[in-house]
Amino acid sequence: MLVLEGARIQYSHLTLSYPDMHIAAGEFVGISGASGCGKTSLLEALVGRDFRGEFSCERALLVGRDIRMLGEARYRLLSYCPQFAQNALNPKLTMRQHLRLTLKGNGLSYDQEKIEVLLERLRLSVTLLDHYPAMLSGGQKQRFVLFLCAVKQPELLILDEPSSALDVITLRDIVSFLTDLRGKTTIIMASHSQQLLSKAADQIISF
Amino acid sequence: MARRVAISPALRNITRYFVYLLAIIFISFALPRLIPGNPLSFMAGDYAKDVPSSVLQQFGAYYAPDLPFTQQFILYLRNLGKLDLGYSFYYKAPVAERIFGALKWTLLLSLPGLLISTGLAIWIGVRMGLAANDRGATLLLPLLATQAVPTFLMAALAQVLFGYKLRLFPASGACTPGITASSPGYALDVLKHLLLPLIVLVISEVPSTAILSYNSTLRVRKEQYVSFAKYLGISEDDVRQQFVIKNILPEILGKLSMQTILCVTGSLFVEAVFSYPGLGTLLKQATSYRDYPLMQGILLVSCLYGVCISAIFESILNTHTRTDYRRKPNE
Amino acid sequence: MSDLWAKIGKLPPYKRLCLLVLAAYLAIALLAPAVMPYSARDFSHPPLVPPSSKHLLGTDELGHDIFSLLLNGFRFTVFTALIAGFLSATLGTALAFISAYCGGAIDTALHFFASLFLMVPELIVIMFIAVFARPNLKNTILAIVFFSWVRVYQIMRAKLQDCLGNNRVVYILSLKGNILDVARALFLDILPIWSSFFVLQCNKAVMYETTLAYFGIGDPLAKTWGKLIKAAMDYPNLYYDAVFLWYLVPPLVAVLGLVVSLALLVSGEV
Repeated sequence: MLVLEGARIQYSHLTLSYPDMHIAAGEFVGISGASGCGKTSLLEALVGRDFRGEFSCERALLVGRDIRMLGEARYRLLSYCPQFAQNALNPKLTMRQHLRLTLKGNGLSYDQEKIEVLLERLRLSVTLLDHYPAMLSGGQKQRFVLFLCAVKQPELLILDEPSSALDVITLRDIVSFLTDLRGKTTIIMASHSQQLLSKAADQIISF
Repeated sequence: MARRVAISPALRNITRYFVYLLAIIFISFALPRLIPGNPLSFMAGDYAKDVPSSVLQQFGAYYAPDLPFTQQFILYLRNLGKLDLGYSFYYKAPVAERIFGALKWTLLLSLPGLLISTGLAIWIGVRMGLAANDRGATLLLPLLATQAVPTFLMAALAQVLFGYKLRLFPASGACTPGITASSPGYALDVLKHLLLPLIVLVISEVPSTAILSYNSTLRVRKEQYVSFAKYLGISEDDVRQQFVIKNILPEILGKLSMQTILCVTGSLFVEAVFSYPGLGTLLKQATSYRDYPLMQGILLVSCLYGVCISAIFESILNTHTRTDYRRKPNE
Repeated sequence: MSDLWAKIGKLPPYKRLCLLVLAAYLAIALLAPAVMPYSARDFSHPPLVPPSSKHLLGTDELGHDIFSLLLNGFRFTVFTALIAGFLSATLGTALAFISAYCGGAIDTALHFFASLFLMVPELIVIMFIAVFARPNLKNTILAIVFFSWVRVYQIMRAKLQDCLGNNRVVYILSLKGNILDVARALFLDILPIWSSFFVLQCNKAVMYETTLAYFGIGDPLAKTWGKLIKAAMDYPNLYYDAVFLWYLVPPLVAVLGLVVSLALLVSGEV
């Protein structure tokens, strides 16, 4: 599903080399490492987000296609759940509007049941759908962002430190949520929490 | 414990605009009298020479320069209440009559001009902002250059080029002489005459709002929710409308009301150049022939127009932001 | 001085071009009397002569040499712009400073008037004032300045309020420095913004003066470009024999060049 060889990110003062990765479809791969070791940067590079360094590699294939050539088409295949999602939601739209636009953009229909199940798994009340981002707590926002990432049924789900969503929701709930997705979705998760990684991931790569 | 009665923001706004209204009325009264060497204090003098005595009499009755200041003001207010704005030297007719006759043409030109130019400007500005890269936007310099050109100059150029030289459009007036409201084809004729002035007005008003939208878009573009929307696969159109435009509107709405007033001024100058029978042509006659009562009437009406437009814009803004993004729906 | 050259060197190429154009305008304005072939008031020449070696831009219907009129216009327009621009930028800044420093009732009153002035069509009020006053150049300039200081005031007030919260100034205030000391301290910080406004206001002044002249307001003896354009457009046979090419187009181009250069110079600054 994802092949990454010879990945390197060059900053002005240092160069980071990453271990090669071969990830099969349906796998759950954890990336561990201390903060600041470059986990987020690599994920951002895969997602195509602008960041300060220069990304280079020998091979980077997503579902057999060269990631670097994909451009915006990659967003049909993957979902990215960033670490600090406080500002990832449009202050002028309700959660329901976010949901509808996401479904519309991915050609999916509004399946009430599936949505409610997904919300429940993330301990989000259905009434929250009519709220604006300013009315939600930080943890609720982070979980809602995760919800949106999942609801578009991506082939690859990339998560950066989802444990920052832990205010009400417990580790067990996150693990069970992610485990449910596994098999249908390939998951890459970066986390500094060894506990979370060992419970959820099949494979752990250390940076 | 006594509850404090909160003055609703709507009431506060109305009072504020009322105060502005009073201030404008007072200024339009006081200003001519404050300018040194103004004709109102020198009734018998050079000005009186060229004006027939009947008109001079009416001038004296309306302005009453011999009465003390406060009494003049009361007279002015009373006349305003009767919608009496004085008597025009040049047209030999009541000012109010001239102005209300011209007002419909001004509205016909300025209101569509305002709406079209605002819509077009936001469309252009947002697209420019989203497409801009590190080297900036290609349209920016031309827009800035266009913005710098005085409106009447652009109108003059357009009239020369398209009206006279290329004969693509009628060069002046609101309709062909001879055709009246009852003639067939009146509407079409009016439309034909409206087209060139309207185009010129729109072109001269678009740049400022477009640049405003462009700058706001550049800022909003960097927000996390815009890039996240892309990651979610939300369509480009939806990103543009729901994520960008919705978020720049509060920022530009304030400056937009100022642009509206500039648009009013602009439309008057376009009218003057094209001899379009709105307030602009009245203004040109008034200034050329030193028709003071007419000038004063035009000043009052255009200031009132400005205040009305500001009030409308602010109420739109308040409606838009009335959605309290912080209160839960059932509270 | 070398500071200034360094700053100029850092400007993007199109802005440097604008500076060049503006310098040319200024030079022509200063040198005009020496270069003008005939006096601007001289209308003894045969009317409506097309461009020739004796009359580079031909003559108008009264017999003035248009080239001389154009050169004369440089002086009027450039100097009117400079003076009106300087006065309105300075007035706006001074009032903003008084507002920010004194605060309280003075601030509220000034702010009220500024908001009011912003809501009325600026140019129309200026026309109004100019019509009621005696028609001479000084009154035209005063009329322009009287209203255009408001935009400067608004923005300067916000910036000055920021500055006055700044430590260094609070220190001076606590040392019981008077208003002049504070002004001197803020001078260097304010200067760059003031200069942007100066250029902006000059631009406005040109636009306003030209528009006023087109409407027949202003000193009838001061032949500015606006007056020239008005005269050209009033002439009924302007479009026969391409008369407009040498009568209307030169002052039009002159105004456009000045206005666009000024505008592009400060684009992005304020």
